[in-house]
Amino acid sequence: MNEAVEPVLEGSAERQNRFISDNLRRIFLLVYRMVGNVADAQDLTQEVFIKALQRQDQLKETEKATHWLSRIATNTAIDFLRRHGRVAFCDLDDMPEQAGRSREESPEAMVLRAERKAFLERGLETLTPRERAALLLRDVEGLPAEEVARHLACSKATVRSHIANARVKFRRYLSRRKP
Amino acid sequence: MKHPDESALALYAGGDLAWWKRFGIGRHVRQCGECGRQVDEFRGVGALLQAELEGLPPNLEWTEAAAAMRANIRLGIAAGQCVADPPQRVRNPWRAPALALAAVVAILAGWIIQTLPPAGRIAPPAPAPAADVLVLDANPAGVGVERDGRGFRLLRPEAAEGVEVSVRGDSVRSRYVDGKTGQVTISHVYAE
Repeated sequence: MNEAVEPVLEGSAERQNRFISDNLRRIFLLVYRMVGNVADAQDLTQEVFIKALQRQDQLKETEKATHWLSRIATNTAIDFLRRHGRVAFCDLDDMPEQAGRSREESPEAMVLRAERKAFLERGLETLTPRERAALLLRDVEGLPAEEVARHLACSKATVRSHIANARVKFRRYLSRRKP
Repeated sequence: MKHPDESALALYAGGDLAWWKRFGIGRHVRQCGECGRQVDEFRGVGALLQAELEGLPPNLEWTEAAAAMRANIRLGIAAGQCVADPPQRVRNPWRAPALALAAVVAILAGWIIQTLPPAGRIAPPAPAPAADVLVLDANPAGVGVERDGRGFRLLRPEAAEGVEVSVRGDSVRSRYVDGKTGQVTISHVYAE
């Protein structure tokens, strides 16, 4: 990853494109899991890269560019959730033309999967933006607590508190409301 | 038996406790069925989230979406460069001393002129006698002519719009449009 990151700071368009391509999918997924909506995730992912490439002079150590980008993504998604308050769901009718994996799914399977996802998204809505970010970074992205603390710019103890609160709230949500 | 609190069990389930706490809670969990069940449920939360949220959204055509995002990112960066602050001009280090020197020279010149004896000064030209002077006057209020305190003025009406006044040689001219009727009026006053 460092090979892709280091040349970004030299500023050529070709190298910036490579930096974008190498990190686009990872950042999109990170943002998407937090906001739970493809359209918003696409907008926010673009915003993250524009912010990062416009402020690349702030980054002194090239090795940290990947973490720095993830941190911008996390903060951008948290800001978005604070502004909008809740995750915006996409109706099945509004979904784009079925493609790839979903072409092989039956309509019933698609509906069930969409319901399961919506159920989980509603559970994530019960968490604060920082709790949601901590839970997703730790349990879905699999980052260690120290790394999550760096992403959220807070102490390890605070992150542990966020993670514990999020797991407790989510477990209660699951036990109260089965899909 | 004292049970660990729910938060401690939640952290224990994810392996997020320090080793000494993990050891103590682990010993309790192995002996307590209720706490063991809670730990299993907490582990289930993580597994469920990972299974359901892993991978791209099923209805997303990634190649197209990625191409659109890349294009928008390039566009955003280009737009940002257009509105970025202009580069700072390089300041000439001699500019300030040169301005200070010019100011000192100007003050000295003024002082010398002031201290010259009156005979050395050039007398200002005597003003022409007010009599026999024909004055043509043009301003937005109207055009007119005056001599020895007597004369006349063609005033523009209050509804006039787009008033133009001009002076050409020995004549003055005004032009305006009546706001109500649209009629254009041009007044010319010649001096002979």
